[in-house]
Amino acid sequence: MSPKLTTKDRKFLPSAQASDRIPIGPDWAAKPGTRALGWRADADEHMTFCETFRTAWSQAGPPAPAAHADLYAVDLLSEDALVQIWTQLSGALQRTIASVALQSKLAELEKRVARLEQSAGSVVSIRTFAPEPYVVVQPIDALIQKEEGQYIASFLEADIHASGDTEAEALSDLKAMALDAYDALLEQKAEALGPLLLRQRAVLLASIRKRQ
Amino acid sequence: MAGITRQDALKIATKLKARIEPGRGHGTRAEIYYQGRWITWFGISRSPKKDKPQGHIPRHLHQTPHETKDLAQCPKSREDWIADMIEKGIIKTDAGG
Repeated sequence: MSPKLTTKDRKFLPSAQASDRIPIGPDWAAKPGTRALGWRADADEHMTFCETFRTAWSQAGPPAPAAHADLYAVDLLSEDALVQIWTQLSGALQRTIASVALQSKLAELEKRVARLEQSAGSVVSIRTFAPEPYVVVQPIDALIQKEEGQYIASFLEADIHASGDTEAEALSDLKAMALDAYDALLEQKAEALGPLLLRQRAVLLASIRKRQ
Repeated sequence: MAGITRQDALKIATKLKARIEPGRGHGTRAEIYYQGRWITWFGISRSPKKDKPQGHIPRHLHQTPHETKDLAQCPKSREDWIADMIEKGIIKTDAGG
């Protein structure tokens, strides 16, 4: 809402020069017309108003033409009208700041959710190797994570991993790799294996059994 | 950085002097030996696509994706990788028990 000029304000209009009617700037106190109009704000209060006006302008763009004209004639307005403008600008400024802060917070939360979705993954329990002739002795938990556009399935206890374009493909490859490792490691003597594969063999023997 | 592709996996297998064994449905298995012991392996998915991602390989080799890419693209040698594995306790030397 644009502030209205009061009768008291209007009676000074003819004598005011255009340059005197622009109070925005540090040289306000030097403009003789402003004091003559009865505007009794001190310099600090005026500067605060100017700063608010500039910030609101930069955040929300220029005011509508009618409001613009009234604001340029701000030194001609009554104290009530100025308070009204001040209130409006302060409110607009606060809403702008709140909106910017919310947008920033939202963007940060979106990034965090995306990171969590990518890193957390899901756990799938392997309970069968059918149609392969192997029995699951105890359910095998496979962790499936999405990484750089592909899915990686991991049998963490055995340190066996597989990847695929889909979760199902990664899981299917993981099962095939686990069975291959089971067969290959079972053929080896313990002394022919490094510590990693000795542990892998122990985990596989505890989890899988070949059907007779 | 692009991920590890099937082509990278084959280069790594060659560099680490891996023995290639046929696997079930997933393709082949690259077995890596050190001082006569089988120390680790990784699967290479069968795919007609040469650039098929093989994101599981860094985990099998206990390397970061970047280090694994270095293995495929020259800067890192088999000796560098072995030294890294010994340091991580994944490989034990005959001298070290």
